[in-house]
Amino acid sequence: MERPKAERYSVGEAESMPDDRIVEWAQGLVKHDVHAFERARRRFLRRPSASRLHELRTTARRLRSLHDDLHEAAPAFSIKRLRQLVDLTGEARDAAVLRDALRDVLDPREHRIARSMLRTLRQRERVALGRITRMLEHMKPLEA
Amino acid sequence: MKGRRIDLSDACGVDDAMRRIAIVRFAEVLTLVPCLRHGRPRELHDLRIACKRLRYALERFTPREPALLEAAGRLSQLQDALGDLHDRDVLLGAIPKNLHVTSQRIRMQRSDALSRARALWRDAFAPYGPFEGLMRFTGLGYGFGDGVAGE
Repeated sequence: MERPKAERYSVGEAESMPDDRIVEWAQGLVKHDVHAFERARRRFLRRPSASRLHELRTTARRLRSLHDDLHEAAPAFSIKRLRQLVDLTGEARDAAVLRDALRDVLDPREHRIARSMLRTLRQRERVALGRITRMLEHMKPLEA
Repeated sequence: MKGRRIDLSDACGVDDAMRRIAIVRFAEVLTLVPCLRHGRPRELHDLRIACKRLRYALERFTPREPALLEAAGRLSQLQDALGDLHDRDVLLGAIPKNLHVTSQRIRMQRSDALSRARALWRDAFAPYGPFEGLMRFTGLGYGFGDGVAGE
């Protein structure tokens, strides 16, 4: 993962290379965030839960944001898979949050009307969690 | 909304790179913040994402620049308020039309979340307030606390 700068840039691009100190700093940040993400991934696969999903989603988003900020200086990693994972975890999270929010605010007289929506949200969350698990099981580790 | 690409090719060292990133990400937030006044869902969602992007960057910088810690904390609170608001917007768009009482309650929660976000934003620019360090670090944001997010 931590390829030297010479491998990542062609000779023609040499003038636009970021400062060595910035590259070194960016590598340290990526290493830290990749480690946090991989730990969250292992924890989620061992025993999926809402808090572990949140941890997985947060570490993936931080890594994506780091890539957006420092893509010139940071070592390359599979950003495409990471973006897909962020989207999928978002689906699961949205369904769970909406279900909880609706349950909290629902007027008891309207409970019968909302029942099918609550069921749909639960189903949507389950499907997304299954897809996340399958994706994580097949995703190559970001760490070299 | 995608974040702007940041050119670090001629940055002089880590502190300069951090400053450039913070300037771009803070500018993205400042550009979107007028939506706190009119409260349009799409732009509020974009503002939340921009706050998150800025917060993540600042949290990375705090080991070298502890003065940014307070701004990161305030952005986290702001992000929570905007997140509550966004969830209510999504819920309002998704629930059956005949949930009249529930809709009314959700609208009230939305309004509370918007007021909370406005207050958090306004207060962030107070003298010695949470954005003081960020403003000094980036040179941006002076004059933004005065009525920009007024109700």
